[in-house]
Amino acid sequence: MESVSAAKVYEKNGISFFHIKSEKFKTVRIDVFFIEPLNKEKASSNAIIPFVLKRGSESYPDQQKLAMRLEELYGAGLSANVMKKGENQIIHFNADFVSDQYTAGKTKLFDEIGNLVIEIITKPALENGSFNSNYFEQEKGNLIQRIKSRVNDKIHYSLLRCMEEMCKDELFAVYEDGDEESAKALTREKVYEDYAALLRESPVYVYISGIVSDSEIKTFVDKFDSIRRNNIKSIVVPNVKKDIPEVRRIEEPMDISQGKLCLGFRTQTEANSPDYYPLAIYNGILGGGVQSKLFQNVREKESMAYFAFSRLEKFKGLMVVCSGIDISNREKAEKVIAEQLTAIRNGDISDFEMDATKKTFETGIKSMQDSQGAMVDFFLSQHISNINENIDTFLERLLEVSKQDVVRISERITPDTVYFLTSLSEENS
Amino acid sequence: MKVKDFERIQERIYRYDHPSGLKAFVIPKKGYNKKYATFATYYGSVNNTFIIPGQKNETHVPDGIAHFLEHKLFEQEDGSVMDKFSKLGSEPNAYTSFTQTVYLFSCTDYFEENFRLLVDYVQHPYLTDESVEKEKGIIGQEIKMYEDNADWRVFFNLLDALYVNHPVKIDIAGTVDSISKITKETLLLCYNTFYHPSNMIILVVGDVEPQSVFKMVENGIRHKENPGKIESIFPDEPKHHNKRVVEKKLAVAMPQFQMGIKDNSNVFGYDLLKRKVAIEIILSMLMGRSSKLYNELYDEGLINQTFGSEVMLEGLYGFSAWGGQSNEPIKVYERINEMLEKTKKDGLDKESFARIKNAHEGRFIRSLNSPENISHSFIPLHFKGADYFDHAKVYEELTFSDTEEIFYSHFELEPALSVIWPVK
Repeated sequence: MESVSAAKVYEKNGISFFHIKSEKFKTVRIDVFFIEPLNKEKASSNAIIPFVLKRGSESYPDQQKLAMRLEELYGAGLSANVMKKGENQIIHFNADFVSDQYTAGKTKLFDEIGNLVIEIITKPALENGSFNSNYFEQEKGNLIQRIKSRVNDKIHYSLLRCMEEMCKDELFAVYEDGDEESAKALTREKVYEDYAALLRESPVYVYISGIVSDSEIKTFVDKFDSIRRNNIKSIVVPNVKKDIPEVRRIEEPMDISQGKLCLGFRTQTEANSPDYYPLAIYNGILGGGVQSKLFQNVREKESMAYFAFSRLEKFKGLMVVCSGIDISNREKAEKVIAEQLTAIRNGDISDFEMDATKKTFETGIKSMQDSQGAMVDFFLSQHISNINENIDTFLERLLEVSKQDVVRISERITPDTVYFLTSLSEENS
Repeated sequence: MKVKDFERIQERIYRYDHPSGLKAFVIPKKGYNKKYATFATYYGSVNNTFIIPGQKNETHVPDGIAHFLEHKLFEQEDGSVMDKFSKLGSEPNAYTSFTQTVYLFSCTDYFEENFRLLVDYVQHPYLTDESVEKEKGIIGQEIKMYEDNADWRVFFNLLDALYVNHPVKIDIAGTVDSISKITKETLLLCYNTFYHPSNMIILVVGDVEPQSVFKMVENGIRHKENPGKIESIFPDEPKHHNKRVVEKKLAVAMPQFQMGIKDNSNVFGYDLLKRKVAIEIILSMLMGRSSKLYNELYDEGLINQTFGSEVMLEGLYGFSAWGGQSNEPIKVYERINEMLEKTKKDGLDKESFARIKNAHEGRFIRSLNSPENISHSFIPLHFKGADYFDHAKVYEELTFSDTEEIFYSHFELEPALSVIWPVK
């Protein structure tokens, strides 16, 4: 079986266009990504841009009119968000809509929605040559709230905080939405300048997924010619190597009932290194899924937790182990987790663990091709890290990893920071 | 084997009725790698009081037992069944909701082996006193995780505001105290009562051969004597809400709120689906992204993008709920109530109805890409006698006047409010 690929259909002015052809879906997607080097001064400014743009454009000057238009277009989804991959901040626009075969032949949705996406990105509702001031101020308030609300999801928050502490002297510590202080200091004029620079200078990746003809794509691609482009920036390749003379311990008290223990490690491995594949298998054996050592021991054997997993941030070479535990179990949990890492280093990897982990990857990678969104994310990750493997060879690289490779990788996994989200008072434990 | 086609959405359902009473379904997804199989029983957290077939007296069991049983079914004589799924590279999982418990796996290869494993283990509980005790530690941590989860708490506090007696207001996993009372014997009692094939369905979504799936069902389902009707007892629930407001403090950055209204219609089958779709459309008309009120509240900084709504109709109970983050949830509550009162006087806006219905149909079609979503939506509706794919029919048939009628009957009560305030 041949896997789906992302065929590069055009590249001009630092904008790359890909078509992910797959005919089984009922929808068509357009994804546009602007890749910016992560920067403490500019992160909040970049982060507010897609939200201001979504408030209104020349033809749809407020979000109510835009919402009505999307309803007319068979309930098309139009979303904008900001994320971080390694030390790049990514501004993402997405449109998701039904294929023409479900619109009773009445509409050419790709054409209509393609135009809408380009208009939202390039022709915002303006006021005196800059963004609409009401929209700007409202979205500034929303951005500040969003930054503060990081704390709401305790698992996500503890993972973020752990990585932030690990990288406190590196660019990676900058949050995808920036920080509260710089969000508060944003001005309409400065953000508009940054927006113009984003359009002009950021590398852009565009993915079109689903049934769309070559001529429709050509028409869509040509519309990007209206964007004036020069001085295209390069995509940041973060440094992943770091000596850690001493493990740091951070404790953060909060009014909560369950503690979250996060152990951060440096993998010392680049995303585009051949060693990434044994690292991925290592992470799977340690804490990726129900067959993993963390699940089997922290949860099943010790009954200490409902969840215990490990996760890679592949672009920055980080690995974080996380588990939700009783406050009083902190030391015990740390010990059990450390034992699992030691076991792998000692080559204590069963055939079952090796085999089940590989099969889990195989299932995951094959299943990914049943989701347009998951495929776009996969290809974007490959493209921005300059990795040429397609889905099939990516899987092959994983399946050919040996136990020796995993043990070899385990030796460079360096403990960096132990972060514990704990309750306010000791008596809670 | 029966086949039903849904032309408008280009979907098809195969159905097979097993002599035991179990019904099996296959929804083919051509070209998909993933095969998503579920084995579900019509038994969830609300079934805490029942009459065992053949007995006269009511049996009452501890809160959280359906969910506890879901955890324990993975354990077999020769270890956890999860390991066997892992060997096949598939991802096993299970979840318990108010009205059903669902066991599932997702795989790309070895479908038959995986499927036999699923059919076998769900029919085969293996419980020991020791393993039941051990699970209490794991579930205790699951409960604690949810205690800190504001989305979850604001929702259950709303259910507490809506319901006076109905067990839907009880946390699905129970409490650390209630699960401490669970024993091997009570678990088996629930299992034997509710896990009869006549109370269960199997559904496979993916690129599979229906005939071969049904053959495996035919051979894999053990014959059990039909015990007769399983009767769950629900307390009388008054028509009115329990409380107007429920408040709590948690470690969040900004207040979170949910408003809701109880649906007293007690409808089933196609009528339930029609009513659910109509209320969803009404909520979009009144407070969706294109509504006047949403945009006013957003412009005034009273709500943000997190605002959303949902409708849950479960036959014997039901409700609609909406909310998100707000710095002034009480003000939002008042403004929404004013709008509802005004709409009751003026009627719904006819002009937006067709546009929004069309948008909902488009969103429904978009959701059909996902085997998970199809399964999660199909199962609860099936247990209430409705067919998920009949959504297409509802969008075709639903008129403005039907919708207006449903609006007046659903929005009779003043909505209740649940707020999570930040701890300072």
